[in-house]
Amino acid sequence: MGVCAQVLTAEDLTRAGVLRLSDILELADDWSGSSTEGYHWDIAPLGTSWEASPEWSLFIDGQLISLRALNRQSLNTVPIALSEICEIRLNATPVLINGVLAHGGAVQITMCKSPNGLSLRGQVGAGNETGDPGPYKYTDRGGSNVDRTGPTADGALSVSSGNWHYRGMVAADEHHVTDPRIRPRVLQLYRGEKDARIIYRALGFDGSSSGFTVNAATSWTEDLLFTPVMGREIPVDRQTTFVTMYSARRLLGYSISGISTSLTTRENPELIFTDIVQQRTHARLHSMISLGINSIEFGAAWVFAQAQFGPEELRHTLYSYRGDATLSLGPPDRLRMRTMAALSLDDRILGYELFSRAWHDRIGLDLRVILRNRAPAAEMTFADWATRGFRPGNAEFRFMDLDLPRRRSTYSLDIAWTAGNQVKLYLSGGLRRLTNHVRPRMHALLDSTRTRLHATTDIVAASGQIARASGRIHMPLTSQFTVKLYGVYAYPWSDADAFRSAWYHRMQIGGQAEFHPNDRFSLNMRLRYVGATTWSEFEEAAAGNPEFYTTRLPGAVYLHLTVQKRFWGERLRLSATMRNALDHAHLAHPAGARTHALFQVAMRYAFQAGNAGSS
Amino acid sequence: MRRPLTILVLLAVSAPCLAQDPFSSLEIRIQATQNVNQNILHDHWHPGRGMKASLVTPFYFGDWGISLGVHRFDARSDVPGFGALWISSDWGARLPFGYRFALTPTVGIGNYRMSFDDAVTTFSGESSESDFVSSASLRASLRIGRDWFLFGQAEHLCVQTRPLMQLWFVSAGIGYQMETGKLLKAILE
Repeated sequence: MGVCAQVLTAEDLTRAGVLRLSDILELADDWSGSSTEGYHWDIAPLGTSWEASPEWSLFIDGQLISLRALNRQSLNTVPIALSEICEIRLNATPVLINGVLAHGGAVQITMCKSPNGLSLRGQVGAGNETGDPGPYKYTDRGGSNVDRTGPTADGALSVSSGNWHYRGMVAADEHHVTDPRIRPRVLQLYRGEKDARIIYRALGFDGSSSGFTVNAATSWTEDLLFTPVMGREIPVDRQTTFVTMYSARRLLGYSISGISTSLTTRENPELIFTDIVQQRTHARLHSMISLGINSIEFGAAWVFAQAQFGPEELRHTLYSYRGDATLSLGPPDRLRMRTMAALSLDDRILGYELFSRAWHDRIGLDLRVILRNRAPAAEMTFADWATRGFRPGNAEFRFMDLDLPRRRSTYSLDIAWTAGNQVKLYLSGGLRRLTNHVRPRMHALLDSTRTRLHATTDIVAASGQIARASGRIHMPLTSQFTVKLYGVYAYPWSDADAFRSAWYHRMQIGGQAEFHPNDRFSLNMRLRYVGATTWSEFEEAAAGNPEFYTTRLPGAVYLHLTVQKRFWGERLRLSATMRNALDHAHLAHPAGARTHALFQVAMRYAFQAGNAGSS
Repeated sequence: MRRPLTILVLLAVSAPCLAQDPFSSLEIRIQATQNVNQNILHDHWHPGRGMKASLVTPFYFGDWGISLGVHRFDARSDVPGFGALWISSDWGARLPFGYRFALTPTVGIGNYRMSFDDAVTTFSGESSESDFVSSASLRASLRIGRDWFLFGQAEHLCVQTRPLMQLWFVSAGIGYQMETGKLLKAILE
């Protein structure tokens, strides 16, 4: 199953020195992203959806968790303990997960099963950025302070037996953005120096017994959020809470999930208030009937979503009803097929979804087709709010040629081929047609000394096509040394300039090498080039102030190196990672800033008492 | 003719660091250090003497070690003096010349923490700064017994501040080598 997905195991994450969930972007072959301050990343499968409209979906243990807030999804706001993650599947193509069609790709996180007995696992890490004045701050040669990243820490305590487990987790993180090359594009309220720009805290609980599973977690993020539509940063307290309950019984199973995201503006000198609360409840009943090797699953789902925003507490409520049927055909070693058809009634609009996948594990071919027309929105978008009068920070909006946003449709065809045992080759290509999608398109006047944008946002309907091709080759050169090379290219075409310009990132090539002489030591190196289209406003600003915009390459280069060593069997693992922290592509100037290094060290500790069990 | 000969010589001197038993021994080293160069840092600070202690063990290839160093910079002008604590992880390739003498080029990375005598700004926690440091060195060692050895080292530190802190140190010290034994080897592995 799922030859199209890129699978990252817990071991992969540890060997790559992943400390934050957003760090998986370094390992994602088909995904690209941009960041204003190096913490919140706007990510998307390259060629699947545009950066300005994050249509990818997040699943934790098979349950859909929506993070959308102000048209962005930031992985680092998820309340989760990284040390408890067992596997992450990155689906750059449409995928069907528990009856939910993730048409814009999906990040699927699977938490580890708690080992039998008592178990304690945790990790802590921190890093230094280069470019700090150090002692020169006391002289006339010193510039502004550049501080650390982190400390980033999480831990989980679990107790488990054969058919039940209970687990509690805590997580905390701090982020400083003080480098002179990145400060001007975020620094209006943030004074830098020693104070953290972003403070994250989270706690959670999950448990299972007799086939019933519950998972609840919440995170608080004290943030100085840079919002491109307002062209400035605002101090906000963000809270993300989710609760999921499910039972996977075949005859009659159910899943219920609820998620709430709130952004509450703190006091600020510009008197901007953008309070917003988004809540979403999803309930689904499903039943599976086996027909020999084939099976059919019926599902009925109900979605309630509500957003409340602004000091006037404007409210936007949405109900969606959906019925689906999934037919699975074929034995494991032959051609297999899965087809899902769904009808939905969403805000009094009838829509449909068709997803069909045919694949052959031995030959390695995988074909996916989706037709999605007026399908359930169930996710209230930025454009939906804007049409109802939401104006964060009195941002300027213009509505251009806007048809009914809920009439949008998506048609896509993806084909993938995987070959080889030792040397593994993966090739995929896809074609996608999007009609009546709604996109916020920003016109920003860049200040040449700091990115205080004067932004006007057009809400436009965008229709067009995008073709995408990707390849990956995984070569074990020796038993201890493996190399992976990959590349992906997305080409949009449309009469609408708004559609084409949404793809800042059209090409990504990279490589990963790993030296792994035994199960205790590993050396992991990742090199990536992300191509970016030029952007006229950025070019003009760069021409006006070439010293500030030193990097005018149409792309960004990333180099990351991690050394990892394991002590005392499985108990203690130390890793050191060197990454360039600031050569990030940014939505407002895709080429990013000058390359700077970040050196991080991390320690992971695992303790277990009781019978050895699965983990 | 010259190129094959060079390769043979390099192979001959590097063979011991390629064919070795990882974590089979542990070297404990202590040395006195002195910063010797002059640059813009030294316009404001005068370098004092320092100490450095290291633990080094054979790795899968080359030697791997961790070091802890301290040294001091006294104020020359109207700036606070500071003490520096330097923790680093080093890797080196030992090139023996006979039984007693060996040269070891090393590279390392670590953290360079400066604790200032007086914080002159109003921000909290400004009495110290931590920055990333990279290093490269050449060490010459002379065995004076079965387990003991003397060594001298020239080392270049590059603390990643802006402007860069470029520091050259010379040092001399004494070291002791011991077998790790089963328990210590298991811990190191």
